[in-house]
Amino acid sequence: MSITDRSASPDALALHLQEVRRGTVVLACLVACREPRYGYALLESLAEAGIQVEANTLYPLLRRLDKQGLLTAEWNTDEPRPRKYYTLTDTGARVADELRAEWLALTASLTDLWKDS
Amino acid sequence: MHSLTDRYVHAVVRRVPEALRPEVTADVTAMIADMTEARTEAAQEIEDVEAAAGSAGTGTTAEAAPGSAARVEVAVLEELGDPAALARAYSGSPQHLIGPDHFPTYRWVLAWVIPLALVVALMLNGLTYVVSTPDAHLGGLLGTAIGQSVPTVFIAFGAVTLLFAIIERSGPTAVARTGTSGSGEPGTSAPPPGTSARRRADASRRWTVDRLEDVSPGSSVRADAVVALIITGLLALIPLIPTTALYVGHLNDGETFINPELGLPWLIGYWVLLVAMAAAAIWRISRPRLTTVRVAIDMVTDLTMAVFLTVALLTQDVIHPAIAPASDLPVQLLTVLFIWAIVIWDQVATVRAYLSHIAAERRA
Repeated sequence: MSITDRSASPDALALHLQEVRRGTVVLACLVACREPRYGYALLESLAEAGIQVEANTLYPLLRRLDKQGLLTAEWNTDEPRPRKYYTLTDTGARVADELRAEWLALTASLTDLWKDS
Repeated sequence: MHSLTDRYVHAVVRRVPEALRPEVTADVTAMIADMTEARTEAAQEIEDVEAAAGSAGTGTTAEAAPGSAARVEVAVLEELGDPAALARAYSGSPQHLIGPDHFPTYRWVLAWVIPLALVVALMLNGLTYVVSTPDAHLGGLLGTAIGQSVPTVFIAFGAVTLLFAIIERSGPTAVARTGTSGSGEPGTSAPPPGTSARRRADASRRWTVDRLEDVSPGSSVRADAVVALIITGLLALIPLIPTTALYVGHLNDGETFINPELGLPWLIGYWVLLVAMAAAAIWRISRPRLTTVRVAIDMVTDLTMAVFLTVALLTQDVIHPAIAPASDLPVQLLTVLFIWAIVIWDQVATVRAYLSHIAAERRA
């Protein structure tokens, strides 16, 4: 890496922050959908929990998690406007557990590394 | 007149595959409705606060309501951002024609197919022109041969590209990839780095040391040798091709392009040289290593063939006498030039392949 690359560090920071956060959104969605939620309610509860995610990222992501069988989707037409509610499946719960274990292991590893340096 | 929201939903939906459209329409509509509701409520609260605070104010809040609805709509749509990016996030199909997995093979196939298509097309179009045009001249030959060969090259390029685009979309990895792709922020134009990392992870799971042999320096030697063997086989058939194959059979009653009076030793010499070339190719297939000796043998064989053909073309009536008089062009001489152009190009390609093979072996 040359010296000129250092001038690009704000961009690099933004890029890496985005990457770190991207993985967390999936886990956050799975955890938050233990009870049925529709997209925007999920967005708000994630925001309250301090996890910022854009609607244009979240809605397609929920659809993909549904396709992967980690969430199930159901349209609720009882409300004035039809809303698609997502619920965690058993597979999704297992994946969430594994992701959480991985997350904790990573945190422990990083903490160790941090101490060493 | 459609509302902005309708136009936005349409702009997203028309970019996703047909099968997803109903679902994506419902999804995007619900998303916009939810976001609009949330924003309207927030705006309402602010207005209420403002109205309460400034009771002696201008009193415009009541008539501002329709305007604020339009503002909310614009704000929501702009927050969602480029419809194309949102459509990408929804779309499962790959957003490229040929991905990195198949690109090296694609380039290798192109590197063989394009020159071959060009040479064959030049030869056939040139020959057809020479034997079927009464007042054939050099300018016409070059113009016709090159002009008619360019479309062939484009067709070859298009066909190879189409084939690989289909492979890209039908391979076993394509399905796995669409499951994870598009997880990037729609607002960013760069490909989501997470996707490629995951794809690498997928690929590395399937990778075993057995596959190392496929990427050894010998693999390209073997693949090239297979193609060379096929070409050698096709070259061996040239003396047997009847003129009817090029729709000029009327010139010599469908006999071969080669003069039937040509002495058998010349034909046997031609085939013996081809057998030597085929043997060298088979040797390379069975033991795919390039050594200086083997490359030298190949180059000498090629040069011998070029010299042999030159002598044959210049001293014998190689081309069928019924065809040759059809033009005033020195067909024999032009054929010799064409052969030497190919041979020199082949020699350069051989040396380059040898150098890159040596470099690859040194790395390995």
